[in-house]
Amino acid sequence: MKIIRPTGIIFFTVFLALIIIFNIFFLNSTVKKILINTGEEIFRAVVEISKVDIKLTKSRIEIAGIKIADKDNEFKNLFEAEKIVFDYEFIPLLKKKIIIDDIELTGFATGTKREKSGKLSEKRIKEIEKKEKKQKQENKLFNGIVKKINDKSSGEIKKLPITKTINTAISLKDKSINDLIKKEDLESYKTIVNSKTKIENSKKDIENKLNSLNFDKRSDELKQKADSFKSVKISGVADIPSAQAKIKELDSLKNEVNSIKKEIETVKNDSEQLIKFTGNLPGEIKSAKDKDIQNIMSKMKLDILNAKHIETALIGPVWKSRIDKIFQIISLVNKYIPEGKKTKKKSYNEIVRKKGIDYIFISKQPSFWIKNIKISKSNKSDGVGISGKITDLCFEQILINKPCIAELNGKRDSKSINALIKIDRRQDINDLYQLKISGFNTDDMGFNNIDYGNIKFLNGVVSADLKANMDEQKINIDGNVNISNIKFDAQDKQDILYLIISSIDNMNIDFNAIAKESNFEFSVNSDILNKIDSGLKKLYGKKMQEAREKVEKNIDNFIKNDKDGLNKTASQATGEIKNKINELSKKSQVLDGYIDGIKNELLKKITDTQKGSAGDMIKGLFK
Amino acid sequence: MLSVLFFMRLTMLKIVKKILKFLNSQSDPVEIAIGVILGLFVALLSPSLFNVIIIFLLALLLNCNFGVFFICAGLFKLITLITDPVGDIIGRFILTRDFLLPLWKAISEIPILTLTSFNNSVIMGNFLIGIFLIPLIWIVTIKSIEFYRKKLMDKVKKFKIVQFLTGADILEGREK
Repeated sequence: MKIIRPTGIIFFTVFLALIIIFNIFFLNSTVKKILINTGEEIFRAVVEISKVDIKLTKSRIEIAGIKIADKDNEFKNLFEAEKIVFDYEFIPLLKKKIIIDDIELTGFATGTKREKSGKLSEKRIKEIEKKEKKQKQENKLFNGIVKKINDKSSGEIKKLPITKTINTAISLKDKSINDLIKKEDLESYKTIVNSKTKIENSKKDIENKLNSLNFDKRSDELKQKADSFKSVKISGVADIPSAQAKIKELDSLKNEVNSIKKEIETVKNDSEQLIKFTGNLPGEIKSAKDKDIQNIMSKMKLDILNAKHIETALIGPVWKSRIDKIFQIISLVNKYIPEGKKTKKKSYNEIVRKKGIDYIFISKQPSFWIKNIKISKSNKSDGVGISGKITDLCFEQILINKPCIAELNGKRDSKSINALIKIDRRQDINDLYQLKISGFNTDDMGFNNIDYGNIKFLNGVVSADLKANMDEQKINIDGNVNISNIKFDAQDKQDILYLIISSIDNMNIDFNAIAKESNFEFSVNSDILNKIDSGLKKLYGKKMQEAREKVEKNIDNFIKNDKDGLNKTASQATGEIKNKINELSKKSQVLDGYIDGIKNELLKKITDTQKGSAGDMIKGLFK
Repeated sequence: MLSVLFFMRLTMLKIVKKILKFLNSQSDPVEIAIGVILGLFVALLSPSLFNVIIIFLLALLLNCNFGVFFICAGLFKLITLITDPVGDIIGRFILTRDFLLPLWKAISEIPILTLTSFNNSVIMGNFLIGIFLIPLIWIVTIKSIEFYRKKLMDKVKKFKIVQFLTGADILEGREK
């Protein structure tokens, strides 16, 4: 059997011829389709190319009429270029490597108008998202900050409510306020109930302590014992020692009286605490009531009256849209340009495909390297023409040991744009992304499409300055956005929020985000807070006070009976306890005096006896 | 649309008829074995269009049974549902071994060879599975044909459907 089929050679030749014919007739359209698909995946917006001309013999490709829509502004182009011309090296192509020395990009502009919408269909977006999901995002730090920024913005970017009149904003009808009050949930009610229980328990406790003193019994016993010393007779000096012993006994009785007095004093201290507690009650109830008022007022949906909330909702989409722009660039860079250290360590890069993983082995030549891109601006009256250069756009920077630097500048009338991007991933990541724009209007920036609800931007002049540094450990984003000559529009011009916001004609927003693996700091400030606040106070200040008084009155009605009950209990308890303690104090004083009297009497007897015997002795001496 | 389906069925019948004719003749079983193996490789390496074209060109050049080649390519495509995940694991393992990295680097520097997507885990894994299956499929195919011709051919020829397909060609309506 012959291994080679003779007719096969003819078929083989025909097949090769067919491939060549296909290339001649269909290569351009196939490459065009691939470029459009790839572009749409990268920019998530419609990409249009009017012509692709591949000259295989000259190793040259010409692409004409490129339009990349802005996904945030469907009737504007993010970029537009009249023509891209470049010569490629053929041999590296056979190794799946793209090496291009020079690319000339002519007629480059941004912000040009589109006639057709640049939004991709839902189906196409889902397709792209599905594909993206499969691909690994290895930069944990970057993914972390994107998630945190998104979490923060999703909590802050809300539609502003429509509030037609002050009276609809704040309903001060008793019924609507009372509907919001549940007696059991009131802090003031809880305080009253708890205080009442506490007073009753304290009163019982003090009463028990007073009873356990057994004052009357002990007092009677002491009195009886003291009385027994009244009958002591001292007829001569010989009786004095026994009388002195009795005085010591009387002293011990007195000590016992003192200990009773101390015990009474201790109970008195307890009662003073109770009195102090009842004295503080009005203050405690008042502060609990203040909390209740705040709670009820928050339930009355008076959030719109919070200037900070309005400010946050107003500036949120503005800073988020600017940070998103930077993230789009970083995300693209992360996808294609790994850091050199990692590449060196692993000797290969990984690209996740629909089926399996492609391992890109690092050899002498990078897999993608455009050495120089010269960009010349468009002369069209539309958009802003951009000129500049991009050098060493390369996937494996470690092989060429050069960072990628892009410097782009554009100016038309009052509009200007400057971008400086330095992607340095030769070893560690050390990137810089700087973007300055000025003179653009809110429509160019897509701010007019921000969905605030009833209110929207109508016009304004935007200047922005953004700077992002990214290294191995952290990402630092500093930004400032200024919008001047602002004009707002509203469907409902009676909306009082619109009345407040429309008085703002200038907005300055500063934001800073520092993300490390362990922590994330984000701060945003604007100068419109005071403007909104004073506007609100002007409109709502009086009404707010009225609302507060009304809510307080209604709460008072709810807790009135309980409060009166508490006051009664408190005054009764303290009165009774005070009386009892005073009575016992007096009795103990009387008892003390009684024992003192007996003691003094006995002492007197002893003194008299001593004096008498001394006189007798002197008389005996002189006899 | 219906005419396309009818044409496809007609083509399939023609292929089956040719295979039966081939099996029932005294032609070399190696032709079928080569067809089976090339069909297997088309199925296994199909994620890369370049590979499919190369194998198809090989099938044109080599003396293999084209009907068997097409039918096997279709049938083996079904087993890629199993071989793709296994091939992915094998491919990842092989392509990331440190001691093999110099080899892969060297291959990636050879023009055209890179276009085979050897650096894709599924293609590399499936290719290795294919290589492993070559001797097995070769022996099984040749032995099966020999067994068929010795033991089954006469009985099969008596089946009406076989007679219909190989002898009385109603579909073409002229040849017997």
